Amino acid sequence: MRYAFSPEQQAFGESATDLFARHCSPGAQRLSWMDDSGRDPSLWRGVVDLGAPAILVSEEYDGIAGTECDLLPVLEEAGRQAVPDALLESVFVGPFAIVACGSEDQRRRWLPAIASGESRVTIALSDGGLAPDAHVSDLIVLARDGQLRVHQAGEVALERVHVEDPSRRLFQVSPRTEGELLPSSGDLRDQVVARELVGSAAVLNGIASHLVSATVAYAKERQQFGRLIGSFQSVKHLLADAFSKVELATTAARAATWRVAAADPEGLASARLARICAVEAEFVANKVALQVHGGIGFTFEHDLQLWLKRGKALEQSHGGRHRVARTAGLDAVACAQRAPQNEEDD
Amino acid sequence: MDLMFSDDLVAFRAEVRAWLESNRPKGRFQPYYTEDGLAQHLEWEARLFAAGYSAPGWPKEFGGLGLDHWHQLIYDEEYARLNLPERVNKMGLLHGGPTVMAHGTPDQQEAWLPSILNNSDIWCQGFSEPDAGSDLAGLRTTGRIEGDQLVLNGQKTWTSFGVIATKMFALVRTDREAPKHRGISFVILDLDTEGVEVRPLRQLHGHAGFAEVFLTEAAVPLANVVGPHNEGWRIAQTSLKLERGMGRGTHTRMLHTVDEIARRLGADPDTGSLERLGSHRAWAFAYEQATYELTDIMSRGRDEGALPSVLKLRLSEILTGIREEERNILGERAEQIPAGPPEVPLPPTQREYWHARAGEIYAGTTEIQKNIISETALGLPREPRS
Ligand SMILES: Cc1cc2nc3c(=O)[nH]c(=O)nc-3n(C[C@H](O)[C@H](O)[C@H](O)COP(=O)(O)OP(=O)(O)OC[C@H]3O[C@@H](n4cnc5c(N)ncnc54)[C@H](O)[C@@H]3O)c2cc1C
Repeated sequence: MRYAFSPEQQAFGESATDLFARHCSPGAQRLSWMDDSGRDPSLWRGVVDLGAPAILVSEEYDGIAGTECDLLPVLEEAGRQAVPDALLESVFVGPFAIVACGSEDQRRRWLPAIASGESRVTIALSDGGLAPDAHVSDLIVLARDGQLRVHQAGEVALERVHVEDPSRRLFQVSPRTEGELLPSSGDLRDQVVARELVGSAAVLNGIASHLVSATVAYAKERQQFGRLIGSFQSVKHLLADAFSKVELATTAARAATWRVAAADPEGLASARLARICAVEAEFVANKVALQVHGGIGFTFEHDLQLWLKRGKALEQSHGGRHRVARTAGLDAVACAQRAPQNEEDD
Repeated sequence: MDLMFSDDLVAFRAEVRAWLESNRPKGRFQPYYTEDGLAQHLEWEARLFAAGYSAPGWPKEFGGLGLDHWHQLIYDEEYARLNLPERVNKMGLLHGGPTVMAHGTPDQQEAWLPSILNNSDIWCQGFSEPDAGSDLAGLRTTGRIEGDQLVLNGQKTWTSFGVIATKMFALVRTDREAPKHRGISFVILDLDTEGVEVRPLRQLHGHAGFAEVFLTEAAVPLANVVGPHNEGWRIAQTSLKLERGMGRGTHTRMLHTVDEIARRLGADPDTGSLERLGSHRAWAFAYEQATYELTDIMSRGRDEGALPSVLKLRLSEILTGIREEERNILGERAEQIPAGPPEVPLPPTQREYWHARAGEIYAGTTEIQKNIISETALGLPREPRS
């Protein structure tokens, strides 16, 4: 048993930290808001140089043959630095969908280019769903009637959907052709969904962790009534509460990712649970962060808004908050029916 | 990351499960504070002891199996899975004993530890006083040195298992001049010492689980002080961290409780109930995994930081949330109990509900855990201290 990341995973995460710090500072993101694309090609090149899109691709297709757990530090860090790019889709869920559901021929055609960064991929898993970063993607995976189809960039019309978070780029994608069906995507859809759940949980945990630490830092510097606001017990308690929830949610997402990667039969159910914790913990962190910042946090100039808005977006993204909780409730009912019942229970 | 139980642990689980299943007592015991109930508990625990299962994690020299934290966790999970009787010597096994292991002299360890394992002594914890709860270091019970004895005066209260205990580990003030955290000693006393009076206290849910303990010129050997004189505050932290961090099968019981309320939901649950159930199941999963993470940290000998407080805070809130949901499901039936005199202990559903509520108070209240987390993990300014 080992909960901590391996030294290699940790080093991978640290490289991602440096890369994001170089390219996605809040200042750099603000500049990108003016421009339609909003994407810095050198960030994507850095992500490719790290090997991130190759992690889930096997060596046969020029990939690195890593595991889902290897990508966790990168996804958490993407949240912690509010990286605007849809890395969840382009290095994790998108590549996985083709790895798991593609035919031999499709894999041979697409995976080496994905691993080398030549082809960037995005994915929308719910029918009619919106695809982030479709404008910079070469392959767009869309759901229709419970199956996944791959579309080339040239074969779709994109309509930008404007959202609160000025860094996010979200698109309604209208395919002009049938695209190519991923043959196993009907049967293996749950596996793709499980990756989306744990991956988005990891990003949310990163966002929440930044919201707490940035707010703690502010509470140690802002004074009112002649003392630091961080010395007021109500403020301390709000932060302790948020921190404790984010801690547990982070552990849950790591554990669920491990189960998903290990093809554990409980993988999908655990992924839903991890996603619920991540959403609820981030919800609390989001609320506390703005509250403790007071007026300054409510200005357009303050960088807190990057995390506040990204957090609110991801609470509802990827299928919505209530649907996951309801499905997890049904899982819990099924699980209780399977569990042995003690004779002493009344 | 590697979250797989080793083959060795899987085999140990099978072994423990088989033994517990074939040896488990039939039917429900009377409460431990009744004569019949105590006899039932002691008989069952004697069977555990004979099989080496009294405390598998204790070193062999003190009667344990010398197994590591993971084996102990597996054992606790199996014990909880079968909903077996609460251990009457919990305070000694989980808190007092390990504190003596960490800080006691070899003589003290030899004198006290084996008798905890075989229940020839039952321990209780004498920390809280009428005027010293959250502000534990404000305790007033005094210890005055006279020759080779420490003479105790004062009162302890809310003492769990006090009515059946034979020994208490207590904090007493041994230097009134010193700053309040520095003048305290950690001492073990026999409850049949002259000048010790134990009075049972009935708890809100009708159980006689508490006692108040009055100390009047009660003389105990000075050799019963654990750790250096006047350094009891530091010694007590070992006990408090253990009490907060390691749930000892609590995660298993929590998941089991979620199953229970899921079964109560019936055939066609409404959407709101399902969503709340999903959320409770999610936090129970997170708590289980965080318990494993703490076990991992402890077995590597790494510093657990504020994790015990984080776990205690989340545990008590998750558990009350689940039990509140159970009351929602029961609706108007939530309050209903069988006929009987008012002070008769409440039946399991209500008892468990109120017990969960107590969890937000004992072992340091929710507010105290939040103070600890914000000051140690987040580095925010400390509360004013008197
Ligand atoms: C079921 C149960 C079993 C117990 N078993 C034992 C036992 O075996 N041995 C033992 O020694 N004790 C035991 N206790 C006692 C327990 O440790 C104390 O009740 C607890 O520490 C709180 O102390 P208090 O009751 O004096 O409340 P108080 O300290 O008076 O607290 C009252 C309220 O004030 C709040 N408060 C106090 N100080 C602060 C602060 N600085 N910041 C914010 N809020 C604050 C508290 O959080 C609480 O909400 C038990 C208690 C219960 C309920």
